[in-house]
Amino acid sequence: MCRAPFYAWRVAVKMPLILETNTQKVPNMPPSRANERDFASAAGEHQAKLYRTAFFLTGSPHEADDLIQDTMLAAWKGWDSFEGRSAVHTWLYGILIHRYRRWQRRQVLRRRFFFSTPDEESGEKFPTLIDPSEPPGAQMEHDEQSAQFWKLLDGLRRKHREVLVLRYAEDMSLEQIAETLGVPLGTVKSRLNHAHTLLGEKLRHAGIGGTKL
Amino acid sequence: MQFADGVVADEVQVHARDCAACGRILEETQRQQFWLRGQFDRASRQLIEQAPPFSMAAIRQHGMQEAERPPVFRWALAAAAVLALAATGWWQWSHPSAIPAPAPLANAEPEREPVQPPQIPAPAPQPKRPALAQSATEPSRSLPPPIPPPAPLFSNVAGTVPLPQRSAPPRVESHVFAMEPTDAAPNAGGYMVALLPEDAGEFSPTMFVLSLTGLEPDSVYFVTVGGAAGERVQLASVKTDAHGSAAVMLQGKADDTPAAASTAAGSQAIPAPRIADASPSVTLDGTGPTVTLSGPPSTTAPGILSMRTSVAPENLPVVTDALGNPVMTVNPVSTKNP
Repeated sequence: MCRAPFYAWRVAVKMPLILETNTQKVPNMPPSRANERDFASAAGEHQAKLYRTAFFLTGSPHEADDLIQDTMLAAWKGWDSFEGRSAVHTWLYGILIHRYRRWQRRQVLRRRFFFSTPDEESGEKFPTLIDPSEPPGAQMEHDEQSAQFWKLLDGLRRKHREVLVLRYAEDMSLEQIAETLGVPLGTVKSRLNHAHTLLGEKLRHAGIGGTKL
Repeated sequence: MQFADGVVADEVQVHARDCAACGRILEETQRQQFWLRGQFDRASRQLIEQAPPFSMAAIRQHGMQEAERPPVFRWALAAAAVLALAATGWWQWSHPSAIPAPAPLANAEPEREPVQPPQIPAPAPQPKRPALAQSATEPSRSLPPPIPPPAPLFSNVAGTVPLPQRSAPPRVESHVFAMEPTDAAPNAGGYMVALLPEDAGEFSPTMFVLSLTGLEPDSVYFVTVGGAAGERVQLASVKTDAHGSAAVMLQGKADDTPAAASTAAGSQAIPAPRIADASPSVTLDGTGPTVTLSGPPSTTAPGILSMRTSVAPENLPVVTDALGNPVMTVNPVSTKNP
């Protein structure tokens, strides 16, 4: 059966989301010179943590690099409009999450139309982080656990992955997560609870449980 | 059960001690939290070290590149959407039968003729009445004329869609004859149906269908008629199913075409029926309300319907068992006339 009408309909529905530029949140204007120094100071302070979050969200160092560049550029352009109603890092994380969602939508489209993403083409399915200070035996065991961890994280839905990363990687409070994601506190609790339930099922399915946890 | 990480409320802990299910969930969630934190922490140390340094110049350069770069991705997506829509439209246009086109409503509505008030015949001259009686009849005269029934909206739709050309179905005349059981099989019954064209001539093809019930299950029966020399000629043989039912179809054509017999669903096919051991053949004729058996024209093959001369009742079709005992005969009077 020809599915062309279905895909055309999906593209037509998603087009506003794909083409959105978030101009309301981040005006397309660079800051003045005086403000730029403040921005550089604030952004430089959070750059490494933002990169870490981007890596946990995308699972790829290259994609995390691109995501950070996009995030910093958007923050630079919108720095003048930042009114300080929230903490700087919450604002930056909000931009990062927004850019991440846009990136993921494009990934879905790429998978649908081109059947693979750049990372899948290059064979880098799961990231490998090598700690040279560890002995080889422990490193192998950690690598196995790490591969399982990334596989489980990759199998979660976007909204569950977001709350898990912000909660356990960035150590944010539930209120901060709600503010960063722009959702009510109850929604964060619900997503976190659901993420734990799904993760528990996946861990049991993968044979990871009991003392290994 | 949602709780803050690492800070489990006292009432939750007290409840989890008493409730095994909640205690298990709490323990599992705490294990998950511990595991997640461990995995994230292990990767975090290296990621923080590997993070690219912040560079204002890089951001400015990235901004300039983005400003200079045409939005190819958006253009490509828009072009893909347009192409997809065009392809969809072309597909629908080239496959009109796959997707039913909506009825052309604008054209479907018939042209309404201007509503003409019905012509009220001129009242016949009446004799003068008193003023009171005359005023009492005025309202009925001032009533609006009756509204004619609305014309059907889609009355001319059928006219725009050509109907498929159908050839005239063949008209078939049928006669039904009841089968009467004999003492050998008192529970047996059935019907014989003769089908032939309405404009049947002497050599028109005719079909006989025998529906037999109440016989011994999984047994072989024969349909026989009387031959010219008084012998029985087998027209067909059939094996009944597990319920004792069977159906036999006999068809004949022109003079030189032998009749064929076949068994219908519910009956088990058996080897070709042994038709006409005797050379004098027998014919069946179902053209009238009375079935007649005729024969035997010595020149025709068995089972050919050609003759119309009435024969004795003993020459009617008889259903016999394997030993030759008749179990059913045909009532020569048709039970259904067209």
